[in-house]
Amino acid sequence: MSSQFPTIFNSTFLTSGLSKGFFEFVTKVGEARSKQEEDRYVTEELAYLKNKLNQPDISTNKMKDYITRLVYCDMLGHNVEFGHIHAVKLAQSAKGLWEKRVGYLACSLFLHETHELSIMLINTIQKDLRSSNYLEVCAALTALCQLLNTEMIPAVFGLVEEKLSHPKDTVRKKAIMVFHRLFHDMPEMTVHLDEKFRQILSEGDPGVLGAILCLFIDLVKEDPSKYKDLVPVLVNILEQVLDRYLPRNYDYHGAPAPWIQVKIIQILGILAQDDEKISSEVGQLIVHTLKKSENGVDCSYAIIFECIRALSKLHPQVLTTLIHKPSHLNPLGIITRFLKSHNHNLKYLGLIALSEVDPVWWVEGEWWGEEQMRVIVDCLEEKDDSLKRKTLDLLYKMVNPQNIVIIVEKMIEVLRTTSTTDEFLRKLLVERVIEISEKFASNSEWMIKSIITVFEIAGNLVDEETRNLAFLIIAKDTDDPEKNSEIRKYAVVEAIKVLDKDPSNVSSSLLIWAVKVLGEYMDHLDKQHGVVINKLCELLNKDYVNRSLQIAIITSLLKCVSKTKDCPDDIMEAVIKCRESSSGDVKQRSQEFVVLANDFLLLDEIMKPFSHIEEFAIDETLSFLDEFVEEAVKNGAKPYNPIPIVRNNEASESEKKPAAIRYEAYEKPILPYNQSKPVVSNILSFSESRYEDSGLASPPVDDSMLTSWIGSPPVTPGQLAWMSVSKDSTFGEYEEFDGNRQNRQSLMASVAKIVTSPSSLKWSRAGYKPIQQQSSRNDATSPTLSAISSEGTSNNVHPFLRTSSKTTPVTSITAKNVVPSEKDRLASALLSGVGTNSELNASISRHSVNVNRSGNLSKFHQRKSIGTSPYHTRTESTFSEIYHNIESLHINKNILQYLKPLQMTIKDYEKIWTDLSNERREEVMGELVISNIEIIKQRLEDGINEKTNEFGNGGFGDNLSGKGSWKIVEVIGKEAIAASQYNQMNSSTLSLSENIILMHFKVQPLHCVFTIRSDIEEIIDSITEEMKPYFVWNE
Amino acid sequence: MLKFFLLVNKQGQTRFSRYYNTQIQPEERVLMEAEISRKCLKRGDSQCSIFEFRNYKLAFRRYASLFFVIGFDEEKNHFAILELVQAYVEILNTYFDNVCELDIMFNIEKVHVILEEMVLNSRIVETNKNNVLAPVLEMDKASK
Repeated sequence: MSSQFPTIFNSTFLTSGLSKGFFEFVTKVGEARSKQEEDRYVTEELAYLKNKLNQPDISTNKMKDYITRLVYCDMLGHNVEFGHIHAVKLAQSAKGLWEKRVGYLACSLFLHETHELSIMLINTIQKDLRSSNYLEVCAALTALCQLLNTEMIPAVFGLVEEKLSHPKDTVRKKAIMVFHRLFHDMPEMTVHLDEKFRQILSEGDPGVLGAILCLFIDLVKEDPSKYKDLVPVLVNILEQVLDRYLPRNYDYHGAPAPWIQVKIIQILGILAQDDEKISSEVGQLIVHTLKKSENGVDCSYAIIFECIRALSKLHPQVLTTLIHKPSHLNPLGIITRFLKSHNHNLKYLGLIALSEVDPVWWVEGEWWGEEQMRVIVDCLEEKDDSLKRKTLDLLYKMVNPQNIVIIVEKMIEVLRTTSTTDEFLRKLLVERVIEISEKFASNSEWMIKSIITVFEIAGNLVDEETRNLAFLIIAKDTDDPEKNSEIRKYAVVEAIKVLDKDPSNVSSSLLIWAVKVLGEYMDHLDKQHGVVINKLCELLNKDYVNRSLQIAIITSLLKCVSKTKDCPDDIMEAVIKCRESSSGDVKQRSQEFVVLANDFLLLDEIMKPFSHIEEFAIDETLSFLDEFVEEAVKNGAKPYNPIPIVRNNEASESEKKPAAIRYEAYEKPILPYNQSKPVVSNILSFSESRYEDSGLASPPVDDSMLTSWIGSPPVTPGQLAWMSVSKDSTFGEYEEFDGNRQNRQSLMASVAKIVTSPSSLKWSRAGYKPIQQQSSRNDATSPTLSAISSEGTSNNVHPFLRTSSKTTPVTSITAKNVVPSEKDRLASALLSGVGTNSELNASISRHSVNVNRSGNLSKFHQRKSIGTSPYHTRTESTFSEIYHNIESLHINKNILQYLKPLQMTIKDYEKIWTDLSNERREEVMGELVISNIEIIKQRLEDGINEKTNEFGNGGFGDNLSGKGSWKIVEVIGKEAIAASQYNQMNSSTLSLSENIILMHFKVQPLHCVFTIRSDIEEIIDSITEEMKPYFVWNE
Repeated sequence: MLKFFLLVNKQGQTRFSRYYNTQIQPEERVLMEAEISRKCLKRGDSQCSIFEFRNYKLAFRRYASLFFVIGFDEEKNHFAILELVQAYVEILNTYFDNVCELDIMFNIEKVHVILEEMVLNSRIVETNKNNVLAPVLEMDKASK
């Protein structure tokens, strides 16, 4: 792109139809050498425009010119508020299409949906929607997508609905997108159109396909169960796309309508999730789609990724049958190719694709091993932060009890080296380190140390939830009571150390953590109680101590007092000082402290050992008050009208409502869009499901889980008193409460109901409701998985990881003749528990089928799992497929299918080189002037290639009888392999009919170099790393 | 979910920008755009074209001196977005007949409208070149 600016005498300007003013302005801005200079020009321009725009009677053409300049100024970050009204006017008064479109465009850019001026557009939009010129309708619909608001909906709803049946697909497309927007803002309003949308989808009109799929992605995400019946329609569309029934202009870089494919697969993936029937219907098709794109470039990567994502969502039973194949037939095997690529984008694709796949599937299907693990470890040292970040995500995903130490160390290392400006990454790392420590740590001193380290490095980024988690690590009971107390003692010692440091330098998160630890476990220390208490007292009234720390200290002091049964005066004094605090929370707590510290009996009532605390759920529906309410209503009380909860933006709109203009003549009745469901109903269903989950009749309760929630739902004594009203509450822990007053009140208003549930340790940010944590795969109880997972003990652990925790860690699978470097060790350590599973391995008997060929193929082995494993019930088709494969191995003429999973877009490619020299047995090389691999493919496909024909005739002589059909076997980047078999070969040269000839293309800047060989091994040697996996099988 | 579409040149000057449903203030926008162009410049040719920036993910491609950047979140399929950049450039290239930085600057409204034909509600709606350009070309014809 040239950056030479033309002068106004230049033909570019003369033919552009631009005004001189516009031209000069843009030129000036474009040539500005600094931001300041640019700002100056823009300010000048704005002053000029302000003056111009206020003049009467400007032609719309001129107006368009001015508004475009405003758009430019706005883009450069300047305030163009004075021009907003003119943009609206332009949209209203414009005659020409471009003027109108620019008017609407400027409105979309300047105004937002709640902007007061957008009301002024309603009439114009209505008028344009009725226009007979479809381009005007389009302009209005496009603007609606951006500006639709509650005021407009009634005015335009009917008109837009009509447009769904407009003869022009551009119009229909945009109308669909308006409803897409509407669905997001007010889903209730689109419900009645559901049938219409389905109809549009099933018509499969390519012109609107992109839009309707967008809509359906969101509809399906919202409620997959409602759209399960769409599967056949979607499958049908996808098949047609793949079979190239769409017009040619939908192709993009050789792939038919890739974005449409991506969208359909995405929907299919969502629909198939946890649904065995649908999974089995779409599984093969997704694999088929994947195969078709396997050799593509550019947008095919998006398709491949989407296919893998969809595959990983399939029902485990179906996925098992799909991926239990030799590595080169396993659809997931393609990930390896990307992981090993040197191109960072492809590597990145490999990493993100891998992270979509649950680690349980990594080890199945025999494609995963140390090699891949090694790549991942290497990526950690990559300078490319994208790769590094994704690798960290992966590590987080594959953490298990065996490799946690290494993974946490790695994460801390990255945390240390990440620049402090990258707050997002740092915060993520902090949260993850603590989260996985909590999940998997077997209470170790090391873990406490690393947590303190994390706090030290990035204490400012630790939020309350994370801090509570960090506390849980110590609070968790293990089977070994001695160890528990040992670890707590250690934690206390470390906590004292933290307090010993200059507290003004320590982050308050760490201090709070330490204070909490001390309060809870001080008694694990044999002596020094007084010292600890004094330290806490000292800290309490320091200037730099913030409120939440103060609160933590008071709570801890109270705990100490309850343990020592002694409240020295100095503590009392220090706490009494806090009663003067401006924070209500601090005040409340110090007051409580004073009362309780004087009444040890009451204190003991409240301070029960936390190990008996059970989880509770808050019955926010207050259903236990129903009787009371009924009675009250009977006695004449007014029933309570719940205030509907409205979304934020709607709320602000509804506040404005009275001032807004109301048109009497709206055609459509207002649908009850603002009757959003009150929050209560959601909670009801939530708690219901919880009951179901916990199994109403006494569920098995694992003690170790129930005890570990300390630090979560916070309650103060006042609330406790309240809660004990509820009969079945056995709640007895005095825990600090850091929430604000409002939360406290809402908590006070609801009463705890004890629900014992073996699941869910995690708490929502709000801190009240336990988040249900059940991996979806857990739900879908496949016999395979449940057999494994029934052994699992801890929750939140992936079924597979659980087994691995039982099996002894195996450091590596068949370490090859590599000297174990540090990286290798790291790789294998990480791999342990992921890459090995003795149970699984044992269940799959492996057979190596050697290919006994007189030729060069002896080195290729096939590894297959044959025989029924107890876990995997194979479908008949899989069996026959395997037999077919094995058989074909012996029949060399089918070898092509074995060069790689071959079902790519091959119709039979007609041969391009008619002749091949029999003299040149070893190798034929040549050059072609082809600069694009697409062209090669195309030419092979077309079978017509003058140049190559010429070349072939000239270069090879004509005594070859074979007319092989060439197939492109593999394309990676700028390389391709084509293969052909020769059946009627001259016996003296390429000997038998089974011969394969490979042609290797390499596109270089101007030329395409190709090599033709009959010797597969040699060609493998000469091709690049990326292509190799397609020829060499694991032995 | 696309969050913004950005064209910045090597000097960090914004040549085109379109934001979707973001509450970023104009001053903040300017700073962010400059930062993005620096980040893009800093990335070597061999480095990944997709990276994280603040709470966004960015997919970018460089054409001569111009970076085409898409900021997005939520969307898992990063390559579908990266490829949208290429598709967009190809369409601009067809419309402007060998597009260059100046075409974009002098025809900013057309660049906007073409993008509107492809992306609505921060979703990729249309990528077919003919379908995208047909209404634009027809508007051109009607205006002559």
